[in-house]
Amino acid sequence: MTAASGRYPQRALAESRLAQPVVANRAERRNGNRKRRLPLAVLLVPIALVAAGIVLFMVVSGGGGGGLIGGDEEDEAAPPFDFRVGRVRIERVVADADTDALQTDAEALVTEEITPVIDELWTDGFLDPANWRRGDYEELFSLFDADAATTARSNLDVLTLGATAGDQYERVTPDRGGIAYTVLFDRDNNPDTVTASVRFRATAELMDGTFVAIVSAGQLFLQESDGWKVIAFDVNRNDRETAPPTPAPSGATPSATGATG
Amino acid sequence: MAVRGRGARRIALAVSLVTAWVVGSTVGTTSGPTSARAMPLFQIEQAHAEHVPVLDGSEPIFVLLIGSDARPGEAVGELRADSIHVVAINPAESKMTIVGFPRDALVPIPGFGTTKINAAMSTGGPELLVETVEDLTGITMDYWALTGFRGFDAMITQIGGLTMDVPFSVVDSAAEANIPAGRQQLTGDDALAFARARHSLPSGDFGRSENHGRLIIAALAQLKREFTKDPSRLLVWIGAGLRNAQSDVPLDQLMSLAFTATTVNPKRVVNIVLPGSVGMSGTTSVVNLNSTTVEAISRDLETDGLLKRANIPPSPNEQLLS
Repeated sequence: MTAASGRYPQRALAESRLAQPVVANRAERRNGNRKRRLPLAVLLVPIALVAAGIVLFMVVSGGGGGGLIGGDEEDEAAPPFDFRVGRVRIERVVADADTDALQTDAEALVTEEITPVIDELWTDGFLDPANWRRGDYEELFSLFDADAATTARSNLDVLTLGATAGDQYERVTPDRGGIAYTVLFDRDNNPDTVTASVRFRATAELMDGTFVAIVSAGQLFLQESDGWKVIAFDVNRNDRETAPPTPAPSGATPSATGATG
Repeated sequence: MAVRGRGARRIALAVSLVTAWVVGSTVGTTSGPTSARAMPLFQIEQAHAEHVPVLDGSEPIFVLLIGSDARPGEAVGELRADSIHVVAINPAESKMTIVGFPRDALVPIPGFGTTKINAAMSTGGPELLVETVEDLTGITMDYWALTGFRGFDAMITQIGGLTMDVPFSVVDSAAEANIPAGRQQLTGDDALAFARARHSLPSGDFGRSENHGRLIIAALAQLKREFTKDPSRLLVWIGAGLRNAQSDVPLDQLMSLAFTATTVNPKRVVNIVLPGSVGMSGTTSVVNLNSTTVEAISRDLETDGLLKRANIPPSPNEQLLS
């Protein structure tokens, strides 16, 4: 982690330098017009205090807050990632339902509504540095129904990069991910329940320069209730040490970075 | 019926299931966030998390399963019910009891006098059969489900067949059954033949009713195995079930029941048939239920869906099992 590479610390330093011309102006004006000494002093005190406060805040905030200490992750975006959608199966409960129409409906549903939820689940859980650097995955739980969210909160080490990931990982880049779906239609031929069989792999670089394959796979049940939410899950995490990503040709990114589904 | 027991107990059950899994899994598995330096995340080799929204209320759930005598092309709900079972589920303990009713049992049918129980459905549909069973047992049924010959066959076929450990050979030409003893994969036709056969059973319809319970237990065991291996199979089972059966179970509650069923240990399911004696009513063969025993079983079952050992009658197929 390198200090002062983020925008905010640089801006703070720049602001502190802006004070110097004011002092110079004050000195010039002090000689020319003594009546202005008091207002200038009054003006400078709060400016100095504010500047000192900003510097102090930057120093002590540290961590994921974008401070001078460990502040390089400020505004660090999650790497782009989309799961690849594989087969989509349908299960109907109406014996004579139009299966072609249901298949079309199912494919539209998973493309437009379900896959974005799962993209978000794994992005929030494993890829977004704003979450894993702080070990705060709160936004993830809104994608579960209330009961499932309770269980999910107690299983951060499986469903996310982990509460202490910020102390361990330098960066995480997605390798690939795929989903197979089954969509159950109800007696009115509306989608009722979706199961998603998910496979995900990313490569994480540890602080010591070694690499770990983050491997996550499992099944999710989703139902619609104020948006499609996970009502049940069965997820495995099976990380293992891995070789560093193959160096890419000059001008290109390493093979483990930036890949999607 | 509202789904019972959502809440803390369900969470506790789910958490305990996860805990049990973690405790029982391989050495080196970790279950909770750990110090980064003491236990780097990459040392998690096989961490697992699951949440199954099972029912866990203290009250039992009662489902009346009905097998109609309807052949292909006939209306399943307008013919006699030749297979009648109350399935009691105790969600809190993940246990199940199956109680078979002899189809020839002479019982009062509300509004239609006393006659064979299987006539209730042909008289007033599944609703009247539910009412009849409720009057007989004093237990309110939460749901019913009904299928016929073709529906049952198709249901088994669409789940890919049924693996069953058949305890004794079943040979009955009238039912086109020729099923050897032993663990085997039954096709839809095989399962239907097994369900229909009674002539080779010493206790006739009593033994057949118990065999229906065996089919239910085999299905439960297979659902559990398949769900463990691939949870999405649950949807295949629900689809096959609802396409080939009629039921008053709303889909969302069926989903909850199905999740709950996956937690039941099939080996601990109690499968009984109400005892009685065969007699005649005019020229018709009937079964006279032992009213004292029926009352004791009903009161015991009503409380928690479970039966005390003292209320479990001998197997009607005891002779074949010994």
